[in-house]
This record gives sequence, structure tokens and C-alpha cells, in this order.
Amino acid sequence: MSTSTVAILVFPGTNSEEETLAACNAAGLDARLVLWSDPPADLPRYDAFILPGGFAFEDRVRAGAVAAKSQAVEIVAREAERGKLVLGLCNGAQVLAEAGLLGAVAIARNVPARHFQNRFVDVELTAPPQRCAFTFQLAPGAKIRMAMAHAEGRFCGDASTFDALERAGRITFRYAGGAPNGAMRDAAGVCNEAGNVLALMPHPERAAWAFNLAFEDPSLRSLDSSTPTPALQIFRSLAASLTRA
Amino acid sequence: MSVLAHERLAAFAAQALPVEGADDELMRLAKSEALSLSPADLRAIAHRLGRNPTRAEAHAFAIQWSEHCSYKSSRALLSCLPTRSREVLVPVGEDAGVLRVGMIDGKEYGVVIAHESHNHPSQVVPFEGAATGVGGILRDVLCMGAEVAASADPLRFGPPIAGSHAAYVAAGAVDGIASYGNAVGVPNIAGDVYFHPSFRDNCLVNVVALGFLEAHHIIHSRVPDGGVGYDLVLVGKATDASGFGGAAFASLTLDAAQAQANKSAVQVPDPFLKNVLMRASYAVFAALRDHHVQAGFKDLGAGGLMGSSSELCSAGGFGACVDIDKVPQALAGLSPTVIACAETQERMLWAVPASFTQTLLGIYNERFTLPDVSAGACAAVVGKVTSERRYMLRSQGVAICDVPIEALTEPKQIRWPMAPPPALQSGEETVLIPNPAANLSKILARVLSHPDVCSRQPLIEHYDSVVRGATAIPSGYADAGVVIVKRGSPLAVALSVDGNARYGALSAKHAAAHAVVEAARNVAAVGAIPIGLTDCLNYASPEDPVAYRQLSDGIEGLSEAANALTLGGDEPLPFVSGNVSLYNQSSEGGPIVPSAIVACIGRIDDVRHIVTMEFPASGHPLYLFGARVGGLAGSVLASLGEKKKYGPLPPPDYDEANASIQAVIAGIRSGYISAAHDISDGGLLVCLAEMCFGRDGDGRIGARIDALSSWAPNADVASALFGESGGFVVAVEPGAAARFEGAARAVGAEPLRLGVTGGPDLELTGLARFALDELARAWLAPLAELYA
Repeated sequence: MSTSTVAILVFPGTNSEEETLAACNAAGLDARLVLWSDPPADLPRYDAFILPGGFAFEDRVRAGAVAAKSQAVEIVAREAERGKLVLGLCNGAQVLAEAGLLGAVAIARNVPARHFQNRFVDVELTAPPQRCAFTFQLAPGAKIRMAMAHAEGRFCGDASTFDALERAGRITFRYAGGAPNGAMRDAAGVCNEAGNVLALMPHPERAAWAFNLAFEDPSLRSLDSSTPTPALQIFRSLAASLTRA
Repeated sequence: MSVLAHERLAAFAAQALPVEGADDELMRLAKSEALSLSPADLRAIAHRLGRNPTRAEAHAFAIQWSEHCSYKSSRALLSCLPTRSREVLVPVGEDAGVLRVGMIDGKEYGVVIAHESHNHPSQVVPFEGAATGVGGILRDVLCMGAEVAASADPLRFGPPIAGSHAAYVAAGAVDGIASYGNAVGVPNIAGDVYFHPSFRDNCLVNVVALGFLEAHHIIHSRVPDGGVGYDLVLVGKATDASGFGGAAFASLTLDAAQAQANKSAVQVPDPFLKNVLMRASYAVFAALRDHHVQAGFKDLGAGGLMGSSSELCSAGGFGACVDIDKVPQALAGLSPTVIACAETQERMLWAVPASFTQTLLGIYNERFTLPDVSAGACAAVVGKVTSERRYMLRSQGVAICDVPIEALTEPKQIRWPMAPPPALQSGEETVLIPNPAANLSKILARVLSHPDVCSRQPLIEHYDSVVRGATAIPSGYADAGVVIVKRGSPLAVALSVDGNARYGALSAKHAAAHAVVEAARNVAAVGAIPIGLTDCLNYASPEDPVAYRQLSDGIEGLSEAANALTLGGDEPLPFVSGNVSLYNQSSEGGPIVPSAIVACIGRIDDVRHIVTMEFPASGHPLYLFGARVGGLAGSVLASLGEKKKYGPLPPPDYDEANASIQAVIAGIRSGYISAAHDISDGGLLVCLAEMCFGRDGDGRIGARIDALSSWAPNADVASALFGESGGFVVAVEPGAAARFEGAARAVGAEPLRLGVTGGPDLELTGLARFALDELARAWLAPLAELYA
């Protein structure tokens, strides 16, 4: 059990905080929901931060743009520089991109669909597990089923930027069989240079239990419905990274 | 605004209207005051008050006595529906119904369900109309004290011809539903879509939502006992003029010329604020429990603050006094009548003891900072619960409305003249397509690409079906969607909707009955036990004797089916919530086809025991429930025929349905059944094709079907393959066939051996062989462009 604490930041418009909390709890993390009305000055007390899915501040201007300018995210960015772990899931990933934590990587509207797309996808760990704090409990090349649910999830940027990302092992996850949202290099998850910040577009927390996936995988129906799936390994890696630190 | 101006507005609202003179004078009065009240209504109001109503009172009555609020034309007819069973915790009559769903950790849990329509608004402004429909239904569930867990959308549009207004409505409504539901964070897990010319100028956008709670945490839509002196606290968006007259608008015929004017009667959705309101309300629920406080909670829908406060207090046996000046307002200069009656979205009303008020205000205004989330949004005390059973609105110290509260909330019922029962349609059945056996491939492609049959995936993908992380079967994979009740427990609930538009065109009564049976079949097809129903009765004007007959017949059909579906027990399937939407007609398009739309809730004790429609493996024996004997009336195939005269639509076979529903549930629970799908639009062959495809059309496990002579010895090829009488196809685990058959026969069902899964094609022994790739292409394409 980790004694470290994780803050799950809730902005007005966030909608995935409860399932994120449940995934953290199952991974043995002591996680708390921190509301936008809670004093941001308390945030540095936490050892790690998760920015969950949703539509923070209504995704005004661009997805994640307003939340990225919040005092809370400024503090999180500062803590990230000091090496604390930060996981952005879906809208949280968009916030991280807008806040500049991924460098010259943007997240843009899906193509060709240009609208919200909800489907289950397989994402493949394409960097060494040790490269990122959120993957090091995964097997090399692990394929994990997750739920894609976004209209703006296309990782993009200059070809040279993405060449560099690939060389640096920063394209942590890719969509197996091609990106349904047109993401460059099929990127589903991108980490920062230090590997302590991960922006992941599909939702592991919505595919974290046997019952979430048993509808399309009958073999899971023989398991207890609350048995964790491989998607929970991302949260377990977070827990283990905190313990190791 | 000066004090003087406010006083002038109040005095204007308090001015008595002269309810005097002949009908034409009263009609002029109603017109000049923009009141949807007939001369008879106006006289009845004056009679009940013993004086002329004030301007504010007249508007309050116009709304509360509208069809939309009062069910005055349908209430008497609805009394024949079964509404009680041992599973019903809260019957029809509150914001939503509640059914017992099971025990978790020694505590009893309930499922809250509500069903509404937002038809007229969606026709006029599809995006906002449909979005606010979702918003309203979520509040209905929330206001029972539940966590909102899922939604579903039955939709009816005109033929989606590219570039047509119907296509614009069909695309805009889906966009509105998606943008609202996705942002709020409520998964959309079920729904259906039909396309029929009668919906071209009057679409149907029905919305269903469900939520979960501990049974003893239910909050009722009434001021609790001992509630005199309770504060009335208005929560949510600042009041504006939007939606003023919305209830009256819902009770009018749609007219294109007036559509522009009617747009102001449509509210403005704000899912972002709703998202926060929901979470803040969950925090209030917890605080109420901590403080051991009883409260009343009600959605603001039709009639706005006036409608909600009068009903909340009247239902508890109390009166109300509301101070209009205390209502947070979005703009200056609104008249008190508009403030009282506007249908501004994202608002709810609490009745709480004054000792709890500060806690309540603190949660909404400080912890969840409503004023920062949306300009002017907040929680504010706007009135008091009174012992005297009067409904009072005050502004600037002037009583602008002061009436007996029951006069508002309990209008007299109406029985309109009713046409005689429709004559049974002739039994003439045309040969629709010559020599079907030789043209099967062509026919099947046409049926699969029919708008009522083709893949819904392009539409469904717009909806977030898995937010909350509690979804066990997302939309489109099976005949019903499934969500778990509480994390860590295997208890789950299935939700489906049904209502065949082509059937509605043939028989209002049988169409309604089939909707009940099919909705029940749908939840059974995932392994859930049907426990309750909701209905939305969409019909044309009750003032038209034919439409009134259709409404009456439809309710009779619902009642017949719900009473018949005892599923081996001794109780009917109860209706726990519902809505009546009348005046669904337009000046150009005429009346809609009778459309009783039904939702069914099913209970799953262990979420491991579910199946979807997709074949999981080869070599699984296939069985048919429901002999193919119903002919082609109302079928998709018949609608493709050149002659449009169909045979009469037969009623459901209740004995068969009771037996096969039980057999399918038992077979899934025992692990014998590996896939199940009910037979509906398109018939058996479409059912089989969909079981091969799966939701996304990429499944490639085919099937070999035995010669028709073995499972449909007395049916012609067209009826056997394309007839749509109710039934199921199930795939069974190899090795479990004998046990499956025995268990099915034990409950009186007759499983007919149909064939076996496997191979790359769908093969009909002795008739035809279809390549799945080609079939899937025909099935996937039609809606792809509309929802691209």
C-alpha cells in the first residue's frame, strides 16, 4: 500500500472523476477529489495528480484551454517540473497539451469524423515500459483495451516534432490497427521528456473491470465482475512509481 | 429598472381580466393576452375563483390546464394501465417512478426511471429542442434523490432524404442529444430510430433516463409531512424569458408559418451547468442524510417556478407563497408573470426546513460555486410553504396571484368525442415481390439497407455510452443496454425502448401492445428479467375523434399487453412513469401515425450472465422461438412492395411471449445461451444477419440455416424469412443443447432447431448463400452520410 496521496482535479464540467477515483482506489492509491473551489495552495501537498475526463470549463475556446490557465493547473505544472507524477485522461490530456506540458504537441479535432466518437479501442504500449511512470508495470508491447470517447483527440504537430517524440520513446501508446481519430503516428498517449507526465486520450478507467469488457469477450464472464482488467495496470504503475520514489 | 417600473409591472400582472361576454369576445381576450384558453376554460376559471382572474392567474391557469401539464384528455383513459406490483416503490405521479432492483450489502436499492417527449421543440430547433429534452429528463430522475446513471432516446423522423428538412432535423436532434448527454456525463445506452413520412413535419424525440438510489433515500416530489414554514429554494440558472409558454406550445398543432414565432417557446440548454448542478445535488443528498432532514425536490419543467412550486406544495397537502422579486433574474424588466412561468432550463426547486437552508445554499453557491459556473446561477430562497391551501405569488408587495391551490393543479378532465373503433383492415395481402425465393439476395439487400433496419452505428457513435465507467453493454451491441447499479456489486439493470412506427400505421392498439412485448423481449435478450415499463404516448389532437380513438386504443393495447406479461408470476408488468404528448400533427403533414413508445427496465442479478447479439464462436446450435406464422403485415418487406395495402396486424401472441421470454432469461442465466436477438424490423433473416455482424458490422462468423421445411413447414418463403411476428433467435453453447431445450420446454416454450453458427457466409440450406461482406456493406451504408 502506498501512503502517498493522489489529487484528482475536478473542474466545472469534469465528468469522469468517480470512475477515475474507483480505479485509483483499486490500485491501492489514496486518492481524493479536489474541487475547483478547494484552495489551490493545498495542491503541493499531494504526491501525484490526475486530470480526469469531461469538458472542463465547457471546453470554451478549445478543449482544455481554459482549465490550462487555471491556478490549479499552474501549480500542477510546477509540481510536474519538480518530478511529481501527472496523468491526464481524455479531457485531462487536452488540458496538459494546452498547458504546454507536452511541448510542441497539440490535440486537435478528430479526422475524418470531425465529431464525437465513442468506441472501444486496443492501444499498444510502443515505448519501453520503464520509459514512463504510468507503464512500468506493463509488459513490453502490451495491448490494452480502452474506451475512446472524444471529438478532439488527434495528437498532432510537426513531422520533425513527432520524429523526435518517436526517437525519445515519448509516444507511449498507439492505437493498434490505426488511429480512428487521425492522430499522427497513431499516437494515443504521449509522455513528457522526463516520463513523469502522461497524456492519454482513451479512457482506461472505463475499461478497468471485467464487467466493462465482458459484453464483447465472453471469456471474461467467468470471472468475478469486479476483476481488474489490464487497463488498471496504468493506475498500478502509478502506485508502484510512488512507492519506488 | 426603477422601483416605479417594477411596481408598474406588478400592477399590470395583478390587473383583473374581464371574463365577460360571448365566446367571440373571450376568444379575442385570449388572443390579445396570448393565452391558450378557450372561452369555456376562461369561464370555468372565473367560476372557480368567484371573480375575474388577474393577468398572472390567467397565465398560470393556461399553463397548468394545458394538455401538457394536466393530462386532462388522457388521465381518465390512463387509469386502466397497471401501475402496481411488489417491485414498485414509487408509482406514477411524481417526477419519476421507482422500482425495487435488489439488495447490495444488506441495503435495498431502487432504480428510478422517467420518460418524456420533446417533440415540438425538436421539430422547430432540433439541436436545442432535443438537448433540452435530455436535460429535463435527467432532472426528473435527479429530483427523486438518485444518481443519474443512463439515458435512452427513441427517435422518429421523416424519411432522411439528403438535403431535406427531415434530414436536418434527424441530424440536429442527434447532435443535440449527444452534445448534452456527453457533457453532462450520463451514458446513452439504448434507443431506436424509425423513419416514416408522417414524422416529416412533426418529429418525435422521446427521452428516457434512469438512476439508482438506496430505497430509503428516495426524495419525493412533495413537501413532506410537517412542512409548514419550509423554505422554497430555487436552484440553478437565472430566470429569463425562454420557454415562456412552452407547455402551451406543446399543446398546439405545429404550423410552419408560426415555427419562427414558436422558437421563443424553446428553452436554451446548458449541460455544463447541469453537470455541476447534478454533482452539487448529490452533495445535498448526502447532507440531508447527515442532518436527518426530510425534504421535497422537484424539477422545473412546464410552467416553470409556478408549475413546480404549486405542484410540490399541493402534493404535500400545503399551500405556497412565492416572492417573485427574490427570483434570480438574468435580465432586467421581466414581468412577474414571465418570471413565474418561464421555462428557463437547468432549474429545480427544494422545500427544506429553514434550519437546513444555509447548508443547502452553501453547497450550491460556495462549494460548487454556481454563480461562477453560469452568470446569475445560484440557489436562492424564493418562498415559503404555507398551511393554507392557497397558491400565492407576490411582487412589490402586491398579490398578483392568490387562488385555491387545487384549482391550479387539479383541472377538470375532458372526454372528447371519440370515433368508433376502426374497421379491421381487409385481409388482402399482395404478393409483394414476385418469386421471392429466386430474388432473395436482392430482397435481402433492400431490406438490410432500409432506414428502419440498417446499422445505427453511425448515429450511436456520437453518444458517449460508457461515461461513469458503469456500462456493461453499451448501445447497439444487444437489444438492450446494461449498466451496473453500484461498483463492486454484480447487480445490473437493462434498458430498452420500442414502438414500431409501421405497426402504428396499421393498428393503434396492436402497435402499442407489440411495443410492450418487444421492449420486454429486448431486455430478456440480454438476460434481464423485465420488472417495469414506462410509456410515452405520442398522438395527434384529442379534439380529432379519430386521433382520440387512437389514443384510447393505444392505452388499451398497452394495458392488455402489460397485464398479459406475467412471465410465469401473478403480477402484470407495471407502468411506473410516463408521458402523454398530444397534438403531434402539422398543418402540412397532418397527424403522425399513432406512436406508443415503451421503455422496459430489466433486472440482472449477476452481470456475468449477459449475452449480446453477436455470435461468439462457430459450432453453436441455433434455435428459433416464435413460429413464423404472423404474415407480413407491417413488415419492412411489405413497405417495399408496390401495393401499400397490408393485411391486418395480428395482436401479439402473449402465451408464446411469456414462455419464450422466460426460456431466454433462464437459458442466459444458466450459461446455455451464447447469443440472443429478438426478431423485429426486417424479420428473421435480418435478425440472423445482425447476429453475424455485431454492432460494427465487422463480425464474420456466419451461420448455416436448415431447410425451411424443418422449422417453418407451413410458411411461405417471404413470411418465414421476412415476417416480423415476435420471437427470438438464440445461439447455444455446444454440448448444452439438450439441457437448453429441456429448460425451455419446462417453462412452456418451444425452441425450434434452426441451424448452426459457423462458416464465412449466411447460408439457407436449399435456398441461398449470402457473403457476409456484401450484406454488411448494404447494412452499414445508409445512415453513414447523415451522421458523418
